[in-house]
Amino acid sequence: MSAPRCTLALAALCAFAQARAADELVVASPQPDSVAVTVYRDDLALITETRTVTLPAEPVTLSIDGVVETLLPQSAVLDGVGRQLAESNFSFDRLTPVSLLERSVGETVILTRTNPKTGRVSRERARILAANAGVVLALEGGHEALYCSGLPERLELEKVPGELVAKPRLSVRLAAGEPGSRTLKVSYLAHGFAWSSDYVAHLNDASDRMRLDGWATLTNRTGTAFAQAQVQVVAGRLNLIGAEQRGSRGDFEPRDDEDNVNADVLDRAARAEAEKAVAALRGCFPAPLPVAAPAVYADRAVPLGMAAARAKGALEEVVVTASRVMSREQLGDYQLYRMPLPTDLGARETKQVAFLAKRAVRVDRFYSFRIDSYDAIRDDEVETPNVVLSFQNTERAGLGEPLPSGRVRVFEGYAGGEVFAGEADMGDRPVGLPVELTIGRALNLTLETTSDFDLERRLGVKFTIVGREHRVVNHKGTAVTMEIRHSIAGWESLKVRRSSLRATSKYGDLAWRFNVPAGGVEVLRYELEATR
Amino acid sequence: MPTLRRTSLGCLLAVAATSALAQDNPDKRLSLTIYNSNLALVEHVRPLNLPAGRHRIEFKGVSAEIISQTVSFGASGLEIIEQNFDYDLLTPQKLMEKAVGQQVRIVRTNPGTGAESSEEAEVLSTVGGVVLKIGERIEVLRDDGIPARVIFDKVPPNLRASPTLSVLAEAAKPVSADVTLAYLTHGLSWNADYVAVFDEAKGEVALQGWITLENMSGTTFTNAITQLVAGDVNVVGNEAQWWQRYNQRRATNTRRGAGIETSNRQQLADYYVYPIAQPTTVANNQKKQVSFLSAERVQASKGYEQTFYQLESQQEPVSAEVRVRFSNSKAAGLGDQLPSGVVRVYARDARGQPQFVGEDRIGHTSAGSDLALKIGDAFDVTVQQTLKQTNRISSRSSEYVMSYLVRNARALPTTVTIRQDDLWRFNEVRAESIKGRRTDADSFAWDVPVPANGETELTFTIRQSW
Repeated sequence: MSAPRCTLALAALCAFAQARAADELVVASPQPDSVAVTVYRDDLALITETRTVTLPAEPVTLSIDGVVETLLPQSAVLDGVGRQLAESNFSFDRLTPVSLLERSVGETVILTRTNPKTGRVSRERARILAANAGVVLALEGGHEALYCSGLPERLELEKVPGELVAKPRLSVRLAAGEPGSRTLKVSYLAHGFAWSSDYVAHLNDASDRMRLDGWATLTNRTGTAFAQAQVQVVAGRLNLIGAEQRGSRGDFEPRDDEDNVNADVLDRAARAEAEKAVAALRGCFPAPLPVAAPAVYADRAVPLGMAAARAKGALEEVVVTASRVMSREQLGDYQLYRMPLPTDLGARETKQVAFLAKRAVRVDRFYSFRIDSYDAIRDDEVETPNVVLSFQNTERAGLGEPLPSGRVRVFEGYAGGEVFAGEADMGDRPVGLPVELTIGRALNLTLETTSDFDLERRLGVKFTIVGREHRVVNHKGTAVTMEIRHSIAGWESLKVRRSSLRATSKYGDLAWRFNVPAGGVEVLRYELEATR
Repeated sequence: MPTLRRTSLGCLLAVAATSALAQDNPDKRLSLTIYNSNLALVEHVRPLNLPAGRHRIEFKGVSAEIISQTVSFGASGLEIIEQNFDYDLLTPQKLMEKAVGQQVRIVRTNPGTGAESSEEAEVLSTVGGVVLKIGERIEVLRDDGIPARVIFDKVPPNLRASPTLSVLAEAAKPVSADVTLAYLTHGLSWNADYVAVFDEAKGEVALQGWITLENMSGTTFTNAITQLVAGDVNVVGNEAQWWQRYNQRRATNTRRGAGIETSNRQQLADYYVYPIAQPTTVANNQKKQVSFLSAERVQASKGYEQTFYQLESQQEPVSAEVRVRFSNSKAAGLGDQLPSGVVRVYARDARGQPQFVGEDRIGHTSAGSDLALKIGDAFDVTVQQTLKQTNRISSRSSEYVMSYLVRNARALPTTVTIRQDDLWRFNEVRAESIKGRRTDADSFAWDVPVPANGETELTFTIRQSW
C-alpha cells in the first residue's frame, strides 16, 4: 500500500501526522554521546545524557530519540541549548497490537480464517471500519466483527502505520537563534531501575570481631542498554510523590522477593497492559460462552509476551564486579556511591559492586529476651532468647562508614569451615549510631519465667504489681551474656520494688544484663509496681 | 442485497433531512481553555455554506470525552431544530444492538465435517446474550459453542469510527457564515511541574516552572489557541475525584504562611489564566510541556524537622525530614503565584552534576507565601525517641517525661526542629532542657542545636489531662 490515506474516518488521526509534516525543520539526535545513570532506591533513576547536535538559525524541532522508555516526561530538563524553548512534547505511540489496529482504521487487510475441522484456510480482503472496543470489518459479503465467531481468525496487515515508533521520542521546539554545533545535556527521571545493599559479615571464632563487606546490587529492568555509562547510586530516602503507586518499599519492611526488587511492579504493569489490550480488541456482542481462547492471541502478542518474560527475569544476566570498591561522597543529605570506572549496564541486567570492606569490626554477640508490659506468663513455659549482634558504627570500633539499609547475612566459623548464622534487615545507619541486629534464635539456651501470682493478687485495685522470676539455663560450652528487657509501655508511676540485679534502662524498657556461665544457671527476680 | 428496515433514530433523521452535510473542513479557529480538574472548554469555529432548507450538519473531530449536555451551537441565519450526539462509536456490541429487529446472516461451521451453512436470522435482543429468530425457531447465538459468524449487511450511519456530533438545522435562506461549536469535555488536564536546583552553600534556589498538558480525550486538537486556568473550579457529581483532590490537599503540607501579594498574571474571576503564546497542536495521548516561569536566584534555606504524634519509646532512630524553605515573594526574588504541582529538587554533586534529591507537591500558592518542601529523610541526622517515665497525677491527668536524642553525623553544626503533636485537650510543659514554644492548641516545638558530629538530648515533661 502507498502513502497513508486520509479517509473521512481517519481525519482525526491524520491531522496529527499532517501537523508533524507541516512543522518547521527537524533535527534528529539518534543517540547520546555519553550517559550518566544515578539509581535511587524506589524504582527510580536520573538519566543524564550528553548529546551533540548542529542547529540551524531557524526555529527547529529537536527530536531526541532513544530515550529510556520508562521516562517521566514531566521531569525532563534540557540544558545548554542556548536558545528559547517554545515547548516540549513527549510522544510515544508505542507499537502494540492495539495501537497497530487503531492506527490502521480505514486500511485494507487480509482476514484469514481456518476451518477447525478441514484445516482449509480462507483468505479474504477486509477493510477495518473501527477498532474501539472490538474490531469491525467490512467484507465483500457484509460487515462482521473480528474474533466474535469462535473460528480461528487472523488479520494480516501490509505495513506499520508511520506514526508508530518502536523507540520513545522526546521532541522539543526551539526558537530561532545562533546556528552551529551544541553540546546538550538532557536529563530525566525514569522507572525500571533499582538498587539494594547487602552485607556479608564473617564472625571470628571468639565472636568479638567481624569482617564486614557491603555489596550494591544494581538492576536495570528497562529495555535500554547503556554503554560505558557513569553509574552511581544514592542511599537515603527521598520524598517521592505517589511512591506507593510505584511499588516502593519502606526501609524496614522485609523484602519477600530479594532478587527481583521490582519484578512484581513490572509484572503488574505488563498484566494490566495485556488486559487492557484484550479488552480493547476483544470487544464482542454478548455471547453466553467465552469467545476464542486467549492463547491464540498471546501467540501473536509478541511485545506483551516479551514484557512478561522480562518481568519474570527470564532474560536476566548477573554480572559481578568486585575488584574495586565504589567511592562515596555526600550528596545533600544522602550518600552517593560512584562506580570506580564507566561501565556497561545492559538491558535487563543485574550488576553487583562492592561499596564497603572492613576487616575487623568489634562486635558484641549476646542473647536477648523482651517481655511485653502485660504479658500473662504461664508457669511451665520455656522461651528461647534471640541472638543479637551489636556493634558501634564508629572508627574506633573499626567501622565508621555510613551504612545504607539492607540485609545483613552473618557467617561464623565452624569445624574449620563456615556456617550461615542468620540474617537481619538493617535500616540506614549513619556514623556514630549503634546497630543491633537480631539474627536468629538461641540454641542450647533456655529461659523459664514464672509469675508470683500471690503477690499480684494481694495488692487490690489501685496498683498493678508484677513479680517475675527468670531462670536462664546455658547448655553451651561457653559463657554467654544475657539481656532481659521488660516493656513499661502504659504503666504509670512505675517503681522497681526490688530486683536481684541492678535494673537499667534501654530503649525505654527496663533492662538487666548478666553473664551465664558455661553449663550454668542464672536467676533474675524482680517486683514492679505501677498505678492502675 | 436485501433492503433493511430503518428504525434507528439517526437514520430517520437522515431521511427526514433534505440534505446531510459532513463538516470535515478543518477549524477556522479552535480554542481550548483547560482547567486543572480534568475539564476543558473547547470552541470550534468552522465555516459553513448552506443552501436554504433543512440540513443535518455533522461535526467530526470533536472530543470523545465530550459532556454532551454542555454543547452549544451558534450560527446566524440558522435555526436549530435538534442537536444529536451520535458519538456512538462503532463496536461489535453497538453494531449488534443497532441490529435489533433487523435481519442478519448467520454462517455456521460444522465442527465435525467443517461444512458451512448459512441462514437468515432476525435479532430479537442483545441484553446478556444475543437472541435470534431463525425462521420459526428462537435461538441464542452460539449457546452450543459452534463457531458462527454474524454478517451484517450494513453499518448504521450513526455508528462511527470517531466521535461525531450532528445538528439538525433549518436555514430560511442560504447561509454562508462561521458556526461556533462549544462544549465542555473531560480528558484534557494540566498541572504545573517545577524544577528547583538548590544550592545549599549559597542559600539559593533556581526555579523553573513548566506546564504539563495531557490529552487523553481521544482526539487531536490541531493548532489550538490554548489557555490554562489555575484554581479549583467546583465540579458537581464527581465524588471520587473530589476525594482524590481532598486527599491530595491533605497530604500537601508545604505552605507555612499564605501570601498576600498580587502578581501581574492575567486573572479570570478568582482564578489565574496562563495563555500559551502560539497556537499549538495538542495530540491525543500526548504530554506537552510549556515553560511559564523562570527565576534564577531565589533565597532559600534548608532545615530539619520531625513531628511525633505519640508519647512513646522507639528502638529504631528516625531520620529527620529535610525541608527546603523559600518564599515566592518579590523580596525573595520570585514574586509570582505558583499553581499547584510537583516541585522536583536537584542539588549538585561533587563534580557539579545536578542530581535529583527529592520532590514535594505544592497547592495553589499565592505570591508572598512561605513554602517548606519536604525532599526526603536525612541519612545523617536522626532522632531517637524515648518515653522515660509516666507519672499519674490524678485519675484524669498524667505527666510524661520524654527524651529525644538528636544525632548529627554531618561535619556541620545544625538545628533540628522537634514537634510533639496530638496532645490531649489540656496540656502544659512542666520542665524542658531547651526553651520550646507552643505551636498550636495541641502541639509544642523545640529547636534543638546539634554540634557537628555530635548529639544533643532534648528532655521535657508534659502534663496533660482531659
